[in-house]
This record gives sequence, C-alpha cells and structure tokens, in this order.
Amino acid sequence: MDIAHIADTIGALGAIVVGFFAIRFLRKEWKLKGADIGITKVMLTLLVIGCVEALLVGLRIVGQTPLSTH
Amino acid sequence: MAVKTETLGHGHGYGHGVMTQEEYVEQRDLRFLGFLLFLFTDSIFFTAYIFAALYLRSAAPVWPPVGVERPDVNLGAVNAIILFGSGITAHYAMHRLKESRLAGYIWFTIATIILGSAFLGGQAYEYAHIHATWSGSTFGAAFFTLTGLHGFHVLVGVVYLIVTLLQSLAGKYTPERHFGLTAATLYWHFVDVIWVVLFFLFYIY
Amino acid sequence: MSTDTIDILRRAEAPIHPAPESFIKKYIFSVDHKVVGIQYFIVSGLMILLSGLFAEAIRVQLTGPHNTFLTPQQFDEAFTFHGTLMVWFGAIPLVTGAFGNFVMPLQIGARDVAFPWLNMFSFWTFPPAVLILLSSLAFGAPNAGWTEYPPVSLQAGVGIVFWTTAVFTVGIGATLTALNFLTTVIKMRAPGMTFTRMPLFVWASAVTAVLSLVATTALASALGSLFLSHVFNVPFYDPSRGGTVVLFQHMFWFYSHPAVYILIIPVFGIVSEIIPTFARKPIFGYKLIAYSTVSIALLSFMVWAHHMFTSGLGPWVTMPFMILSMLIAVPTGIKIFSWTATLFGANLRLTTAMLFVLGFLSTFTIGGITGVMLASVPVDWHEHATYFLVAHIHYVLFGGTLMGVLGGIYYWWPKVTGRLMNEKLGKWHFWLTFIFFNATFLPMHFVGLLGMPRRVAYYDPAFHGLNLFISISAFLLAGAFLLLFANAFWSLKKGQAAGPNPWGARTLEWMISSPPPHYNFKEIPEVYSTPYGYGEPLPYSAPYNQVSTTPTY
Ligand code: HEM
Ligand SMILES: [Cu+2]
Repeated sequence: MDIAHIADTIGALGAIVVGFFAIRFLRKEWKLKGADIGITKVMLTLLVIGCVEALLVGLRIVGQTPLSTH
Repeated sequence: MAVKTETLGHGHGYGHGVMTQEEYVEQRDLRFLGFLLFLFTDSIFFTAYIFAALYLRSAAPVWPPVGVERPDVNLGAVNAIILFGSGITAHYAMHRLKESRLAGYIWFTIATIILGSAFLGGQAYEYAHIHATWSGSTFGAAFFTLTGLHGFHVLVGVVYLIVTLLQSLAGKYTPERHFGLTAATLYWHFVDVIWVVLFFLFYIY
Repeated sequence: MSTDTIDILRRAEAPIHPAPESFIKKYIFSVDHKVVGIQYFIVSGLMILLSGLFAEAIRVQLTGPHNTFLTPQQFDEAFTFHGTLMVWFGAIPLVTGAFGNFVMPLQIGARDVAFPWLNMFSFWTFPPAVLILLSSLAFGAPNAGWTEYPPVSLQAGVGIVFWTTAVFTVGIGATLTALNFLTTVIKMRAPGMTFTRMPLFVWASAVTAVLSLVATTALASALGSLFLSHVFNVPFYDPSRGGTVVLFQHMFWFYSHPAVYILIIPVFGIVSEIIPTFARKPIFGYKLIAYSTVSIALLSFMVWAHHMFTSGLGPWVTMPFMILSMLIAVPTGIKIFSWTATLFGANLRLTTAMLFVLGFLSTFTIGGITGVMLASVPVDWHEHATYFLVAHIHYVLFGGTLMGVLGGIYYWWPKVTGRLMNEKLGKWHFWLTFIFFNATFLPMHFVGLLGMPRRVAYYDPAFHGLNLFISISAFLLAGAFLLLFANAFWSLKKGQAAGPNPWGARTLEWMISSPPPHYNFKEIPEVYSTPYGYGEPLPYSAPYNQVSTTPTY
C-alpha cells in the first residue's frame, strides 16, 4: 500500500468518526435555544459537510482530476 | 435590589470590581453580540478573497494553470480531518466546563491545541511540497493568500486557546461565567468551517 | 434573568465611576464617548483642512492651461492625497467617529457605547494611520488617485505600501467603531425606546454601521491584495501571469460604492434631526425615512459596477447594474420628499443650522440627478472620468455631506461646548459657502460635458476661462471657512451660555445640561414615543421631561 492509500484510509475513517460526533452533537443541541446554540448549530452543520468532503476524497469519488477546464 | 455599590452600573465593557449576576448577564449579552459581529466581518474578509479566487479561475483557460499543480488531495483530506476533529474536541471541552468537570475540560482543550498545531504542521509540509508559488501563478496567488490567511487565524486560535486554558487554571471561568471560553470555542468553530470551504475550493473543485 | 429585571436595574441610580482626574485619562486616552467624539472631530477636521490645501494646489495649477506651478507628478500626488484624505481621514471619521460617538449614545439614553475601551482603541488607530500616510510623501508618494487602480498604482514607488497600510489601519478603527455602534444601538437603548421610536440619527448610525461592517472588510481585502502585489509580487493584477486588473476594480468598488453611503447616510440622519426642530413640526414620514435608509443600504451593495461601465464588462453585466443604480434614486427621493413635506407649511426658523440643511437639500438633489445621468450606460461612456463626474461627486459630497455636517456643527455646537455660536457670522458663513460652492462646482458640469478629463495637469486652452473662474471661486470658498473658525473662537470666548435646550429640540440629548455631565444620565430615562411630536408633552420619564421646548436662542 502506498502513502496515498494510507492517507485515503485515514481520511475516510477519520471523516466517519468526526462526522459521527458532529451529528451526535447536532442532534443533542437541536432542541436547545439561544443565540450561541444557534450559531453552534450552523457551525456543526458545516462541519458535517466538511466530513462528507473528506469522506468523498478518501473514497476517491472527488478530487482526483489533475486539470479542470470549465 | 442586589446592586452592589462598588460595581460599575450597566454595560461598561471594562468591568473590574465585583459584578452582580444581573450585570454579568448583560455584559455577556453585549460582548456576545460584539463577538458575533466580529466573526461576521472576518468572514467577509475570506469571502472577498474567495470571490477573487473564483474570478481569477474564470479568467484562466485551465485551472490550475498549466505547469501548476494542486496540493496533494489525499494528505489534504487527512489534514482537514485533523482540523475538523479539533472542532469536536473543542466542543467537548466546552461541555465539560459547563458540567463542572474541570479535568475533562483541560484534557479536551489540550487535545484541541495539539490537533490545531498538527494542522499547522501539515500546512507547513504542504507549503514545502506543493508545485506552485505565491508569485508564479494566479492559482498560487489565491491558494497561498487564502490558506495563509486561514493559517494565521488557526495560529491565533491556538494562542487564544492556550490563554483561556491558563486563565481557567487560574480559576477565571466557572460553569456560570465563561464568556471568554464561549468566544474561544466559537472562534475555533469559525476557523474550522472556513476550512470546509477552502478545502473544497482548492482541493476538490 | 428576564429583560424586565435588567430594565429596572438600568433605571436604578446605579453607582457610576468617578470622573477621571488625570489629564491623560481625561483628554488623551479617554474612554468617554463624548471625549472620543471630540477627538475624532478635531483630527478629522484637521484632515479636511489639509485635504483642502491639496485641493487648492490643484486649483492653482489649473488656473492656466499649461501652468508650471506643479509638475504632472506632483499634480497626481495632490489629487491622490486630496481624495484619500477627504474620504477616509476626513469625512468618514467625521460623520461616524465624531457625530456618531458624541450624539448617538446620548440620543438612545445610554451612558456610553457598549465597549468604551474599544472605542478609545478605534480612535487611536487613526493618528498613526495619518502619520503613515503623510510619511509616504518622503518616500515617493502614491499617485494613482484615491482609487489606486493597478497597474498604475503598482508602477509608482513604495508609496502604495504606505497608502495601503494607512487606509487599512484607519479601516480597522472604522470597523471596530461600527461593531461598537451596532451593539450599542441593539442592546443599550433606554427602556421603552423601540426601534420605531429611535431618533432618525440613531437609525442612520446603525445602518451606517452595518454598511461599514460589510464593506470596510471587503476594502481591507482589496488593500491587502494590492499590498501583496507590490511587496511579494503576487500576480492578482498582472495580466502577464494570468491576473486581471478588473478584479481590483470589483474589489474596490464593492467597498467604495457602499462607502459613499457611509458618507451620506449619517448626514441624512443629521438633516432629519435639524429639519423638524426648526420647522417646529413632526417629521413627515418617520417610518418611510427610516426604512428607505435601510433599503438604500441594501441596494448599495448591488450597484458597484456602475463605476466600471467603461472597463469592458459585457452588456449583460452593465444593464442590471444600470437599472439597480437608477433604482437607488427611489428611496433617496422618498427622503427628499419627506423632508420637503416637513418644510411645507411650516413656520421655518432660519438659523444657520437650518440654512445649511436647506443648502444641503438643494445641492444634494442636483448631485442625485447627475448621479442618475451617470448611471445610464451610454451617457457614462461619454462622461466617465471627465469633470462632469467631478461635479457629481462634489455636489453629493461637498453639497451633501459637508453642508449637512456644517449644519450639524452649528446645531450640536451648543450641546458640546455649552455656548451658542454667533448667528450673524454663521449666516455669512452659510451664504458665502453656498454661493462659492455653486460657483466652483456648477461650471465643472459644463467643462466636463465639453470633454475636459479629470486628473490631468494640463488642459486645452479652450477651457481656460471657465477654469479660471472655477479656481477663483474655489479660493473664495476656502476663505469662507475662516468665518467658521472665527465663529468657533468667538463662541468659546464670548458665546452666550446655551442652556440645556437652546433650539427647543426634543431628542434626549437636549434634556440634559450642555455640555452633558460625566455619564450623561444620572438615571436612565424611560421613553414613551418618538421624539418628534412637536406640540405634545415630552415622551420621557421624569426628570427628563422638565426641559422647556421653547427655543431660547
Ligand atoms: C441617486 C444616487 C446616485 C447615483 C445613481 C450615482 C451614480 C454614480 C455613477 C454612475 C458614478 C460613476 C461615474 C463614472 O465613474 O463614470 C458615480 C460616481 C461617484 N459617486 Fe455617485 N451616484 C449617486 C449618489 C451618490 C452619493 C450620495 C454619493 C456620496 C455621498 C456619491 C459619490 C460618488 C463618488 C465619490 C463617485 C466618484 C468615484 C470616482 O472617483 O471615480 N454618489 N456615481
Ligand atoms: Cu457608486
């Protein structure tokens, strides 16, 4: 296994773990109210999106094209 | 009414002396709003450069321009996950403090600081190995400016976390009064989610 | 804890800090919003004077078509300094830092802004920024105009580094002031002062703060990239390496169009305070004025490309920007008509402040009309970068912002100093300003339409006559300002004591002594209605409803 595959595995597994906790927090906070909680919810949601990004990279679904024309 | 005579009256931002709970709540309100507004303006800074990056991209026939390479996406993903993970530990730390579990708070904060520093190390590694330079291409211009700005924010965040950690060891924060910590945690989340966007912009899109 | 309890607490005679004793704490590093306001007033006033000197140098050069008073290089530096100093170091700090700081907290019945220490810090970013900017004169001054478009700005010497650093620094102060003001207005209004009971100047300050929070940071990014381009050779704006100069124009104008509203909206607020006071009747369309301010602010973020009609954007870009720009004239018109309707049938008291506001109304309206003309793409292709544009910006900025500010100075001077100014001298000042303002800037429309470009040291001899006329008027216009200084000194020395409410106004700042005491309000007032109900009892809790509202000047 080369370094890229190791990195992919770590990235994907990490994304699942971090995403899991982020979603768990999000569910806990969902019903709470308050300005700081509201902001935290937005932040956590974006964090989940970030984990999805990392997961897709780890699974080699995105991010593999060296050149993009548009 | 429980107004202590040595206090400051309401809303004076430079509170010394003893504050009553009421005054604390109000000060906290002010500072919280002020801090949110600060994060808001700061996000405009990033937004402006992100638009600049997109504009430069639309002006280039291929992206990244010929002869320039994106940073390694696989390592980038690992580094991103390190940063995202630090957001989770920061969140845990905050909760531990609210539940008066000081030891947990301390360990999670230390974990956050370590992860944050590891991210910066990863950035440095990436800077050393990427096939692009700041002045060589518009991709390099956008990449180094934005990730540099972000890296600077992470650095400030790490220092900020260290300061709050020392402050709480000195007993400054209690489960009821911890505005400084709330702000540090929010700031850390902010730095995290900026990377969600930048990661997409430079590694994936 | 409930908001009610907080309100009760605010109303209590909460103990207040003793006033600072030492000179430094009292006047230099003061955290008192009134002192910070006066500090801003003094420094930005000096900057306006300095900027005025640069303007007069420009006009001296233009007295003849091929004058040798300035070299073309010096001429470029002169108009760059004139614009830069006026916009960022004169007018913006004046309308936000000075007027906002002094008046806004008083009008909402607060004892200070939300973060007094931060307020002091904001001010102290300002003098260093001035020094940085001025020191560039010794190292090769910036010379591409206040807009500093690359590539020209990047071809000059190291001056651009000073310029970006200075404007960045003063921008930090402006952003922090905005953050402070917005928090203050949202959180620290006196009990009972709902948003729709706020004085209109407070509305204006709050909306300006929002503009400033969004736009100033965007400017910071534009300045940052210009700085990086010069210092680290980063190719944002270098076409040979894939960059594009049009990007800078987008980044700059995304800030600088809202910035022109940062310059004028507080003045809308000043005007909305002065008109009802001297018309002695409620302002017409309070809510319309307030909400049109908000809509102007929103629209102002969608029109920036009207400054770039000649930069080669496609018609599918310029058309929407043209329509949106013209749309701004609607909320602006709503204001003008509301003010005019307030004047209609009123028993006007023509004090100096009121005269300046009437001057504002007429000249600003002309500036708005030429703005709509320039917003039309075909017209702009013809008029862009000519003296017609210079006429437009001076009708809105001199005839608008500065006239309104002068009105504001005459209006709040007694509150700040406790003494009245000399009305007779003031009226002379107004009439000379008004006449020579128009004599200076009206002919610029004509030379502009005839094709005289801006920012060039020499011109076609055919324009000589009008330019000479303009220059002479400009010297006299500057001379008229001496009357203001004379008046100020006279007032400080001999002025009659003003009493709390010389004009018979109704906003909260006039309900306390002049100058206001340390900590403004011993007890935080309660508010029952909008301030503009002339003929009704004052809408404040005792002791703040005891002041007479009969004018005493
Ligand atoms: C009805 C409202 C307005 C409209 C439609 C309008 C339109 C325009 C347009 C189209 C231009 C660009 C001309 C060109 O570069 O060819 C312009 C320039 C300018 N306007 Fe306005 N304007 C309006 C109000 C104002 C106000 C209220 C201010 C400030 C208080 C202002 C300040 C300026 C300045 C400073 C410039 C010149 C910038 C430079 O140096 O290139 N305008 N305006
Ligand atoms: Cu504009």
